[in-house]
Amino acid sequence: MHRLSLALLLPALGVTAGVRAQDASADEDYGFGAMAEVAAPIAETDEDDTAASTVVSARDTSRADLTLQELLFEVPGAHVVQSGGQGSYSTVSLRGGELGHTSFLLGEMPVSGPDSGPLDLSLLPIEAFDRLEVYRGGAPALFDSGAIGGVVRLVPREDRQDRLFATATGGSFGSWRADVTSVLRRGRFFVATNAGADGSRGDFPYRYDNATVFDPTDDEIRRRANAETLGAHGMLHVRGTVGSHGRVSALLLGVSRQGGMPGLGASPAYDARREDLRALGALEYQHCGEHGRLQLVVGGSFRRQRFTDLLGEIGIGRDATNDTFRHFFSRVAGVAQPTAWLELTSVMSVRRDGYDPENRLSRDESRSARTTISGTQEVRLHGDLRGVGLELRPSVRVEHARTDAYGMRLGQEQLFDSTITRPTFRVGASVRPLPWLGLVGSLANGTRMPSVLELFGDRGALLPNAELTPERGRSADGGVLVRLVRERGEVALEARYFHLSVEDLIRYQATSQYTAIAQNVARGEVNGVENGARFSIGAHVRGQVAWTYLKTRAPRGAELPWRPNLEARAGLELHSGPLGWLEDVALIGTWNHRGSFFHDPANLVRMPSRHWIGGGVRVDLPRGLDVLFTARDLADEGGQDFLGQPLPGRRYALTLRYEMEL
Amino acid sequence: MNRFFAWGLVLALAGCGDDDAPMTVDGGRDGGIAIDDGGTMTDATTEDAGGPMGLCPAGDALLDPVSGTPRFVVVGSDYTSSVVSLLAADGTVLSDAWIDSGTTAPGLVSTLSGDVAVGSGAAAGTVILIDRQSTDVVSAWCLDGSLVGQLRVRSADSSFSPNPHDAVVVGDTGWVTRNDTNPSGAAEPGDRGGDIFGFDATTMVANGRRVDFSSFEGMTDAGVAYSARPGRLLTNGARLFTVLGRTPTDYSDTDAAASVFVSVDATSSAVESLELTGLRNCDLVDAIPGKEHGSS
Repeated sequence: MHRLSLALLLPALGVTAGVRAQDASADEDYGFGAMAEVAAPIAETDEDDTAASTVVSARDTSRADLTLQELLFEVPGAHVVQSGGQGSYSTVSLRGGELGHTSFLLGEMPVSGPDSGPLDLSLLPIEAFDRLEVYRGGAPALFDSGAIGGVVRLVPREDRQDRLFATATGGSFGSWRADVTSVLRRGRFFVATNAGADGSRGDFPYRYDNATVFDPTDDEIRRRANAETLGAHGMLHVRGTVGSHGRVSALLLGVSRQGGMPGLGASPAYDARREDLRALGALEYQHCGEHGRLQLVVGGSFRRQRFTDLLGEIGIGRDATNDTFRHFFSRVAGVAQPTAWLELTSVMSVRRDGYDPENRLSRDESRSARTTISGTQEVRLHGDLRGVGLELRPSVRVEHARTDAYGMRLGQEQLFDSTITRPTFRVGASVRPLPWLGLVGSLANGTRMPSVLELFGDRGALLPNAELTPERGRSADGGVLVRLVRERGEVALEARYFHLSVEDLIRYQATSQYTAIAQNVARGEVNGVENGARFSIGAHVRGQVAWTYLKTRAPRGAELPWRPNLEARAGLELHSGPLGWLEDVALIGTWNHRGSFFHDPANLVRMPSRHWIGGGVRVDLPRGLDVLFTARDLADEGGQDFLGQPLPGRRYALTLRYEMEL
Repeated sequence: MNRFFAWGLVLALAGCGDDDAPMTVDGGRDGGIAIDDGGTMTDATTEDAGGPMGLCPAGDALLDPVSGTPRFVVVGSDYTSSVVSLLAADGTVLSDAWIDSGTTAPGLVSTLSGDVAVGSGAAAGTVILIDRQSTDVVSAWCLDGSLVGQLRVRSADSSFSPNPHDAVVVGDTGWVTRNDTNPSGAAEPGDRGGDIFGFDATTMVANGRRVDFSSFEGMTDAGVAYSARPGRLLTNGARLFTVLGRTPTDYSDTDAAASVFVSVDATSSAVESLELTGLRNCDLVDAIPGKEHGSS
């Protein structure tokens, strides 16, 4: 096609086929490539070309000071929310779903659930990860997930070269980060380790209005107080081959964070404290044969979450909680390919969640436990028809959960149990009429089980309702993927339309001023368009654009709260290439836009739109040393994702990064 | 027992529960109250200088003026946001959203939160709106849409939310009941809560007066500390009446001590009280029509 060299790598923007290519080469490095018999014709990885997915690399050294949540801004359809500065709670919703409608996987392990809520992304260091895979709508069958909004998978670091690198960042408001990461390959095994710490005073300025919105005379600029954080993390990831057909990987991750709870901007808290400790381990074995593969995953996690508010500064009443969560997970998956065009996938998962709440200032609370068994069966039909690639992936999943917990009813403690079974399905399809063009679409439904808290209350302000049913969602999407590669550049585009409807949404309904009960009362509908583009021109220009438009509808014609109708991001990097003794100088610019959104279901309070403009310069010095200076929110807009929780405005960071071959 | 106290006894029977009832402090989020028109008001915007126009900054309306003569204020809320409507005496809706949570652009809070009450005794031709837990703001509005002022009934340097519940105006002095008590024993008196808090109703500035109810706090037999929580506030001349629901300080239990009816001399701040044996978790006190003069 003229001078164009068109790539066969269909899924643009690192969409899943890109993952396959990356993983395949990674496997080659780890020893799989030397064993021709392992190169079975079936998919060796978890990707699904029919899924609406975007992959973002976490190894991009252009921005060594990025956080995981900032990385997600690059994903169309993703809505990242933050509650403050560095180290404060942050998570993501997908395609207008609720925050709890996104499932998170760490490697092969689920790390979020109905009881633990959305994953706080601020807990996890970006340096520990290789990439983020974001699946909107239905996720690949191998994940055995029935999430309504989608799945975010954090893939541990999988560098292919032996190396050691260290980063140190210092910035505004006392923020700092330090990390050391090493990657070693020895024989058939590869070992990645990461350890680091971070902290922040978080004392950024904000406009304090004394909660009197009509009286500007008492407004003043204050600094956030009691917002300091201190965190530490460590990770070990081992992967290698066993025999000629086996692959084993092990992951250990520990993170901890403690700090103050600054409370609402108009009602600051000065003494409330929090502490979060998580430890997670997972072991995976995968056996690849000529006509199939088998995967076994076992893992567990422990989480301790402390919250101390002896003066009742946050919420109602005093708290001194020390809650622990224990989680065990096991998954068996098998993929068989009886014919060249047919692939069968079966997945069975068992999950046990234990929740042990404790409040020193309240009466004893008993443990609760949930056992979830789920199974997924998928059929993959694929092949070429006169040069047109076709793929169809229908799947069904059944999830069965039994929950036992104690709750209060009429002043007496009672043991409640809840048994819920929910089937879900997904059908994904892709057509590749041209090597550089793909058409994809899917239909799916999902579910979110009610949490223990929603089912059985907290023996205080939250009353039990064991009759709750799971939240349900239906989604559909269709899109176009394009990837053009030529000698001096490439461009990858994705454009999708999607629809999401959710029913039986669980909301707390007040029963008095100080008590509430969870009920299946809300529903909503989201229609939207998500687009992304990534391009490069030679070695000097790289850019990325993502934008999402949402049209939401709640009962009585209202819009769903907390959903900006428009979110957009653009990023551009200009690289000089070798410049005298400098290896490279890069100028970096980013622009983010978040449209206005309603704070309340009644659509009375509209939060204003805002923009963030960022910029930076990175200088690659000889001997593996890089210096990066970045500025965020140059226009000092600040703003709020949650009403009352101001975000930091203009801020700067200086990062030194050193990398050496081992 | 003086005459006023007898009057109050009749009132105190509203809003209480029996000993074992779950704690339900307020009857619900949708509420309303009648506007005091001073007995002569026919047009909310044409009061004489002794009425609301004395308080209201002329020509400085922030809200749309109301046509007709509003007699009732109704608050609707879903606990996230609120809307205030005005009704005529016959129930005709004069303004379905005179002010709501989105009337002005949000700052650190919205115009109104989802926990809003109407003050029981505003000055003639005005409406007092109380934004409760965490916001702690009392706003006095004139019916011509102008703002008398806003007062935050908590210390700007404190994290304690006293949770104002009701407000009345007696002459030029306003009084607010603050329902919560600061768990910090080192709190300054003005930041302690569990009291009736005074302010200048013409400027909406705290006047330094407060009626402390800490002497009604204590510990239940089960060892649960309880606060004295004043709720609805009524006036009769220079006396203030309220009932103290003595419920656990940290809301950790539904157990509580018997409620106490109190009568306060607004001039001297002297307090008379009567324990309502057998009645707990009381919050509301109201007048029984025809019984306002101690005829019980």
